[in-house]
Amino acid sequence: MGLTGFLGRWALRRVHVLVVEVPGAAGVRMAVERELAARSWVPAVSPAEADVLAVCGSPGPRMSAVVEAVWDQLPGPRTRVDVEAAAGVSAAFEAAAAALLDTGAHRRDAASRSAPWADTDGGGDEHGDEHGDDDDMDMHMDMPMPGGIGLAGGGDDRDGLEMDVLHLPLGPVLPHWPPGLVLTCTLQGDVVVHASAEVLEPVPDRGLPVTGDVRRDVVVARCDAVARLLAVAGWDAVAAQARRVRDDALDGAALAECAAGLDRLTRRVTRSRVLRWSLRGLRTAVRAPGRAGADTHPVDLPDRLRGWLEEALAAARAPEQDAGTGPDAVPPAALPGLVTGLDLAAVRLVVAGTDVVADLTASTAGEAGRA
Amino acid sequence: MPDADVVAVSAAWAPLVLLLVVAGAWWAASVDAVSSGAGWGAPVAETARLLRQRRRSLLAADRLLWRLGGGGLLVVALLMAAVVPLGRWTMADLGVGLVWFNAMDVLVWALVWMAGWGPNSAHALVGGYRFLAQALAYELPLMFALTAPAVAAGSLRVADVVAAQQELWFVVWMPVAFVVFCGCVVAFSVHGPFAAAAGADVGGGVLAEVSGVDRLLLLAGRYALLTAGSAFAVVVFLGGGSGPWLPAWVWTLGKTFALLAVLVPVRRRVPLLRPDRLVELGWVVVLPLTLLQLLVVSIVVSSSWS
Repeated sequence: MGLTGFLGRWALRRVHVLVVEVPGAAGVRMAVERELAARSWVPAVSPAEADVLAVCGSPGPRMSAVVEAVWDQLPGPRTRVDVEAAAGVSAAFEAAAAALLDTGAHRRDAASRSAPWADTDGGGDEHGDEHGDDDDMDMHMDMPMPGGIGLAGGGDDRDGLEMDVLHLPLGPVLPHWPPGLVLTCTLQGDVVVHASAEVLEPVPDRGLPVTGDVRRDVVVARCDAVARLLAVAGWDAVAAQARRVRDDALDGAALAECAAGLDRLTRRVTRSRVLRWSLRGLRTAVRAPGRAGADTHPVDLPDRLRGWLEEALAAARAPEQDAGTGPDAVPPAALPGLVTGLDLAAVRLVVAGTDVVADLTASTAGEAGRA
Repeated sequence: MPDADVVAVSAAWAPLVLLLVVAGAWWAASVDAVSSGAGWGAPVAETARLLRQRRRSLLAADRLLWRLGGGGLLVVALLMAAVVPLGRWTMADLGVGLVWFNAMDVLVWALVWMAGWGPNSAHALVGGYRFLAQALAYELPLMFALTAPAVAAGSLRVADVVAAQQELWFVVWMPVAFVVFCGCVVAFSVHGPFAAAAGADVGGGVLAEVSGVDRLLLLAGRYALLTAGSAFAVVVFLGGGSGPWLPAWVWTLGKTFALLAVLVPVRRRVPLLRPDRLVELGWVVVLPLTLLQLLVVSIVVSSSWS
């Protein structure tokens, strides 16, 4: 047992956890993030990195299929944690830690998993269906294709030159990504030339924690949004700072204390010239508060970030329970217009800077249309 | 030209150089962990975790290129360190040591690209070409930053560059070249603000699909590159082994570790530099500054001849 046990015990200090947030489980996800920070475990950014898959909320059939596919990509030793309510987080992770040390079970798990794909180079029988409807039929159809995957079609890029197109779904499992959102992009190189957006299994409520004080709820929600945008902008240290302010607000720290934390955060964010340079020229969209309908209007991304910070600060400083409402979230249908023509790095920033709320009427219509 | 006496040791010492590079990488990883609040034990835990994790592959992955790209970074770091003199000793006393270092850093282009291309995954591929876009931005400034000490020493041999700093370290009168060089070292190590190729926004980019020991090699390779680059910055800008009381090799090692302790935590202070906007910054701002520095150095050198 010597070496195996030794490695296992050390490995347990730095477990990497892939967190999947089901729509409507924001509060559970926050509780999981806090638990990870408390254990100094690490949030994973891809299935290949992860030891633990943590599913927050109760997935329906479509999200379950996604979670299964992701689970299959974890290299192992692996274990899965399903958390439906914020209260059960600590116990669930304690169990996960114990499960990770069960070497025998992991050996059996590894043996039971299907063998990795045989190299299918040359076995070019099954590629016909995959070939897509593009106009490259002049290519020899009996050419062996790697793994039976069809070759990319072409299309005119923004300079009018022919370039390969790649269809890439972003989400629903991506770090710092709105829960359940799938943004299906058509890429040429790194540039999105076409996109469509959908939220899997949308629910009316994001499931944000309710503290009983509206001001606190606003601070929590805005800090969470700020943390997400900063994480996508690649500034983990300050994203963690934003998350700490959020957690303090959840823990019931005095609002004046939260306001001081927000002040420090705001100073750090607004002082960074690199961040300003990164966000410059990018635009997101909002809806006027309290107005129904889908009339969105554009906002510069740096202004949106500052807006979030100001709304949180105003709420933390408000003398009584009356949090002024900020602009409303936009439906997913607004996203394609925002991201088309942008580079993938910019797309991620714009999505992180956009409050997306599932448009229930639109998506049920979509479901009906598909059925 | 001061006489530079370094002894090229036999290739049997290569394991020791590798050990030093790995020690530097370990130090860099520890500084990284401590500065982000994870504690000194984090690299041990991370290594144990990755040694325990299974390797994985993907459908139609180009496994040869993928593994070469991942494992190659450590080799390149070793080859860079080979021309760094440690006191009186060096692995390779090349007449064109500076060019050798530059050639090795260009190898990193290919390796990171292969690590991104190999797994047949869109996110990894995006990481791969993000690195190429970044390389396009930093490579010219890096070359010209290295040219400045070469011009001042009148030689491309690393030992001559060290000897030319007996009176005054080059960092004192070519600070711009030093800062640019350090930035480029961070850039070719895919670290901190230059880590877009491994960014969380594309699921870890070139790291998106690797697990287990392959991931360990890739991560160690990045820190090793940072170490080799810092060691080179020490010998071409920070006087190499010059310093009081202690032997020269201790000074070289100590300065390298100190420089690493400065470069690694930059990650916490600066957000990611957008890969699609970096060329603009590299060529419009940094390159002219570097050329200006080179002009100043050239004028100083030619006026001291006449």
